[in-house]
Amino acid sequence: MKNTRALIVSVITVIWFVVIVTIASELYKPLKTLLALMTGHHWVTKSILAVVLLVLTYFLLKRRTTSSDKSDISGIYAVVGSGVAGGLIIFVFYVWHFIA
Amino acid sequence: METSLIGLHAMLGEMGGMLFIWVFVELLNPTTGRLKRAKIVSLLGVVLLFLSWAVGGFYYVEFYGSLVKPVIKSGPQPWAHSVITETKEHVFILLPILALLVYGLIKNYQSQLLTDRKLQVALLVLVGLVVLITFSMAGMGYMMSSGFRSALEAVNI
Repeated sequence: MKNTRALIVSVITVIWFVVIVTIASELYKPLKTLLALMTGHHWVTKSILAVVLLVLTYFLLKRRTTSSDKSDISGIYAVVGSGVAGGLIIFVFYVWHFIA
Repeated sequence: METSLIGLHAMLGEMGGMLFIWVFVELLNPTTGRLKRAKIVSLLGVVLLFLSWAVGGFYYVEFYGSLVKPVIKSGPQPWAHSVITETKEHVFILLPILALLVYGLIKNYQSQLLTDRKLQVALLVLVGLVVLITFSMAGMGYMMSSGFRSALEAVNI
């Protein structure tokens, strides 16, 4: 984990992957079924895919990006913003899904 | 077995959260010694959160879906599953990954963190988010238990 920039971008990618795949699999049941078929449970598949995506994105970006203090500070805030927004989107989606 | 697993999941998660509070305090006014401690403590926190993820996931897949979920959904607080559990299970995926980023930043920016106040503040905000998510997971766990208990009480009445 020497390239901080690559790690930051990988984390942001995983956050939005989890948000999108969570909502998409609830709205489009065949996707949830496919995720469940892959490992036996949709949550296990999502978890494994999140880790695989983190590792894959990091190694893809490792040689293509360079870290600097300044860009990494804005990157950290982008991670925080994505984490907060992603968590709230998932929560609001399930509230809406429950009411609907 | 189920009760032990859920207890272990909560214990690992809350200990991980407490370790990140420790990291937060070390980063408030960093010195070389404090940063060394923060690096070790954050690594331990990452390990505990990954273990909590694995234990909670095993419980969720093996027991929750068949034993707890149907009871909550038939009780007076079905939202405890439909909103709280669903949110918790997906937001939890983000937690160990955010914790890993904290460790990576402390490891890579040991010297810069001594002098760069903007970097210190940004990292403190990120650690704060890890702590906030960790303890919101504990709160959601409480709401899930309440949903289960209220369903059992409704059956007894």
